[in-house]
Amino acid sequence: MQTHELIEALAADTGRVPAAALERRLALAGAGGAAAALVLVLAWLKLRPDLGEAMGGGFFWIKALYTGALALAGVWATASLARPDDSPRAAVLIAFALVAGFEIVALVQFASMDAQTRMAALRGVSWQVCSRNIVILAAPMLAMSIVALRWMAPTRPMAAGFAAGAFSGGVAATVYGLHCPEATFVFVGLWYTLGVMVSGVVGAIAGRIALRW
Amino acid sequence: MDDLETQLKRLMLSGLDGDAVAHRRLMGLLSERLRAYFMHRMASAPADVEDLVQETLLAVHLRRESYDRAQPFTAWVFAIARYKLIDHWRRRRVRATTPLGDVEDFLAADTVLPDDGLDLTRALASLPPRQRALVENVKIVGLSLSEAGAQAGVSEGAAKVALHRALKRLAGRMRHANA
Repeated sequence: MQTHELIEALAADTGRVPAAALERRLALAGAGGAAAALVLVLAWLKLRPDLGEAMGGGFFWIKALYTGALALAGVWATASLARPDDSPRAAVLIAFALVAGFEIVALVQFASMDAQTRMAALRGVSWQVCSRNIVILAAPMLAMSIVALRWMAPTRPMAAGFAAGAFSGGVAATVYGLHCPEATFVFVGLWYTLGVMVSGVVGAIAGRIALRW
Repeated sequence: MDDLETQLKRLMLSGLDGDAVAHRRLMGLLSERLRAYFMHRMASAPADVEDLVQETLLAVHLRRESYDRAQPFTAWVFAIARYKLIDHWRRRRVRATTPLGDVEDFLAADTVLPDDGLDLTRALASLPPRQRALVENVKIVGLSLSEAGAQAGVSEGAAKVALHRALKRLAGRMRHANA
């Protein structure tokens, strides 16, 4: 087959591409993924019984702000990695700063505790399921994000997959806050962060398989 | 050099708005640029040049959404061409003996005449009959999509979707042709 013949076929397939197509696809994955995570929380994990009361307190919002900010850094990195001529550096730096900032506060809180409180803070009431639940809640959104990226040109498929996983993990962790009663920097800094990271690793594996072109 | 960027970008922007004539012209100009760029860097396997040109054109076409209209166009295209060249080397286990060059080399390379693309011919032959007929009708016979669709007994909309799917499948097959 000759190249000019291929070009005829490509010209016949000229579709309109809306402005900000990438942003739209990622926003759609984010909205769809958040909705899926919310359904999972409502149907499977259930809302925390004291939700109304918790929303009146500060830590509920600090937690949501942290995971929400991770999601934003994740989506920014994903968008940069989706374009072959862009660099994710700024987004990665911000993600590092966010995690480092939160972990420093967690360490300070940890250092101020006595030995018994430390153990209680590390384990909370849900340390065995927290990270796992976040990864599960993130799974539908990760799948949607990978599908969105298959339209794009990520020249680093594993990194793009990791970013998509962290984006999904950040959104899922934010939704998970509607169920999870944990309220210390120590717990969130450890198990929430781990959940987002593991989502990223799952994303990297998915990217290696599904995003090469 | 700036002229080429301006010209190509204008064509790309029109193509993104659905202008098939601009898109055809863009693909034509890009095929010359890509052929010249790859020719210099694949001296050990000149027979593969046209395959890679076609694979890259398909990628540029199918992944148009990843182009940011506010950014230079040639930098975007060059990043895709570079990725395809590295991927080709990796698949063929060729060690990179020629530098990848930069976007300036990409713009400046001499033009060369095309060969036939064997991988694409093979990939096309492996498509399901209906998809193959559709691609052949629009590429060789030069039918419009609605005519080609009518011949296959489907609406223009259905033909559009089927053609896009066929091209995606072609891109996938080409990449696995010599994995």
